[in-house]
This record gives sequence, structure tokens and C-alpha cells, in this order.
Amino acid sequence: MTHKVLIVDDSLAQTRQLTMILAEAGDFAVVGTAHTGAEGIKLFEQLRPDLVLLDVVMPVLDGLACLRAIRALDAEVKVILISAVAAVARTAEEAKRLSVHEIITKPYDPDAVRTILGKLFA
Amino acid sequence: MPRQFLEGVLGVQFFGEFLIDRWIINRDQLLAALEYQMNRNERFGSIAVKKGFLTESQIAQLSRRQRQSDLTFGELAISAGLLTKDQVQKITTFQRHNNVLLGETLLRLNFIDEVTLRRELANYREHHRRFFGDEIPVAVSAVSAVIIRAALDLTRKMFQRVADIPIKAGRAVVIAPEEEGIKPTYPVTVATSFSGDDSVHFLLSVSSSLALPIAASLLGVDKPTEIDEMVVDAVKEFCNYICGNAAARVARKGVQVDISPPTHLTGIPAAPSGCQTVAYPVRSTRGGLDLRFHVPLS
Repeated sequence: MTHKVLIVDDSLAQTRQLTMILAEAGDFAVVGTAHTGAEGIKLFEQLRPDLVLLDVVMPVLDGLACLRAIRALDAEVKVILISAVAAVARTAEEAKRLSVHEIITKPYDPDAVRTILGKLFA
Repeated sequence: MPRQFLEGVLGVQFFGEFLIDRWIINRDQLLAALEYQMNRNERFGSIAVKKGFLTESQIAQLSRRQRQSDLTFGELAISAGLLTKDQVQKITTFQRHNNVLLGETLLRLNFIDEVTLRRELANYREHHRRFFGDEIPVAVSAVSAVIIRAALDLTRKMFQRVADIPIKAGRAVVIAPEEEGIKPTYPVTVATSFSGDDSVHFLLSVSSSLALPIAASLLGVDKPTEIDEMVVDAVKEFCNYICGNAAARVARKGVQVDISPPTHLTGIPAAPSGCQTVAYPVRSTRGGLDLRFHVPLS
């Protein structure tokens, strides 16, 4: 079964790297990419992915605000927060309160991301 | 531009450049010495493989993991359960006995004699005291200083961890608005703001020879050959790595700040009204860069 993934990150470089990791991991298809939190909410509603890879620091609407909106639409969808500010305690606490499944700090090890993806959909 | 900053830009040097400036060796000799070191000196991972302690794939795995960590390669291997403390010690002892530093290399190649080397090492230490130091000018608030120190340290570490490029930063200089003159600019300039307990603007300008390897590392591709939209975006993301991790570090010290999404600028702007510039003279082994902060006047 192929899992539908939405990437929400303002960085083109980051989106490209995550797409490569997902392709190598197998069983994942990137169905949408958004570069602001607002775009992320819109695409989430349209695409209803199985997994959201979500950055925090983004223009227009940040990742945590985007996550709150996503949770209002879907309490169950799997979300991985991938951000350079993921190690900021209050960001991580808020993300956990909003039931993210994993928190990854940038820069990350692609192998670690692949392992997390594998576990999440085992 | 204050004389003190211009002196700093010229003064922040690696030992080899210092020797060239003092006419002790020439650039060809330095390049020959660096090549000798590159061929002669062995990295931790390669020794570990030769001794049968690690496989090539474990080295690749640890190298990728090192991007996320401030730990040395050996410490990381121990924490991953791949090496014992005793094995790490054997490797570092081997490196100490077999790898040669630049001074020793210059001696071996007969580019310098022992008396001159000893004298120049003492001169370099004196030079270092003059141009290097982590004290921040008093005109900056204590909270700004905490943010600046964290961002500076993370800049050094991210250059090393992400692009394997060492950089050296000299002593910071405060540039008052009326003293700002023409600023050196490189092809890619990015900026991020810290806001919260204090407002600090982080500005980083890098030459092509730094932007391209940063992009190659972030994108996981062979080195791009020219600055394009993707390379600029990669440098913005690199700036995000630095400032995001700096925000996490200062939070552990009780300073709460958010960071803005990085922006791409066409040049380094002067400090806005009510702010001053804290500039660091910085040098890398691969190309030019400019690192400065805009902080509120205190």
C-alpha cells in the first residue's frame, strides 16, 4: 500500500531532500508540497494525506498554527515535525500536545528519517 | 568602516596564511604542505576501518549522524555502541603519533627551519591573542550577547558539520551607524531575525566557494556549478539551521526567542535606526564570508 504524503516546508532544498528520502524509503508518494502553513492547510483539506511532514518556521502561517488547523480537521493523521527549532522546549511541548508522532531536529540524518518512517507505518 | 574591524578582517588568519604574510613561506609551499598533509594524514574513520574496528558502511552511517551532533566522531561511535573507549583511544593515539601538523610538515619539506618555526609559532600565539577572543563589546545587552554567542558558535559548528569547512572568527567589533561604510558583499546574503526577550538580526553573506558546497550537502547532490535559485534556497535553509539551533540553545539558558523565516538579500544592509552592527571578522579555508548582527543600541 502506498502512503500519501504532504510536505509543508518553505525551503525548496528541504522539500527536494525529503522527497528523495521518501522515494528511497518506498511505499510513499508525495501528493503535495506547500511552502507556507496556510497553503499546507488548504492542501491538507484537498488531499487528505496519510502523513504530513511539517516544518515550523514558515512565512504567512507557522507550522504549529498549521498543525492546530490540521488537528481540527483530523485528529488521527500522522504528523512528523521536522524543524531547526524542534529542540526549543516550548515548541516541542506544544507539538506533543498537538499529538505529533515524531519530532526531528534539522539538520537530520536521512537514515534516521527512513527508520522513523518505517516504524510509523510498520 | 572602523579601522579596528578592517584590521580584524586582515588579522584573522590560519597559521599558513600568517606565515605567507610574514614572507616565511610562499603560497606554492603552503599548497604543497597542505597536499602533503592530505596524502599523509589519516582521518579517524579510515584508521578505524584499517584496524578492523568499523566497516565502510558504519563510517558512512556515523558521518551522516554527525551532522546532527556536536560530538566528535569517536564519541558518536561510542554512543552508537560501535566502538569501545579503548578502541577510540587506540585510534586517537595512532593519529597523534602518525599525523603531522602544518609546522612539522613545513620542516619535513625543508620550507622552514626549526628555529624559525619555534619563533613564528610564538609570534602566531601573540597574534592570536590580539585578534581572537570571545568577549563581546560592552555596548550590547546581556541577552543580545547570549544570542550572538550561540549563533556564532552554531555558525562555526554548522559549517563544519554540514559542509566540512572550518571557519575562524576574530574578536567582535561594534560599528556605530555613522561609521558604517561600504560593506563587503558576496553573491549570497541571507538574514534571519530573533525576536522575543531581545531582538537580534543575523546576517550571513557567503562567497560561491562556500555557497556551492553548502548546497551540495543540503541537497545530497554533486557540487552545483553555479549560483541558482536552489543554491540560494539551500543557504537560506543553512541559516535556518544555525538560528533554529541557536534559539534552542539560548532557551536552555532561559532566553526565549522566536526566529523568522530566512530571507535572501541582495547586499548587507546598514543597521536600522536605533540599532548598531556587531561585526565579526571571519575567515574560512575555502572562501570569503561576512557575519554580522544588528542589535538594539543599549
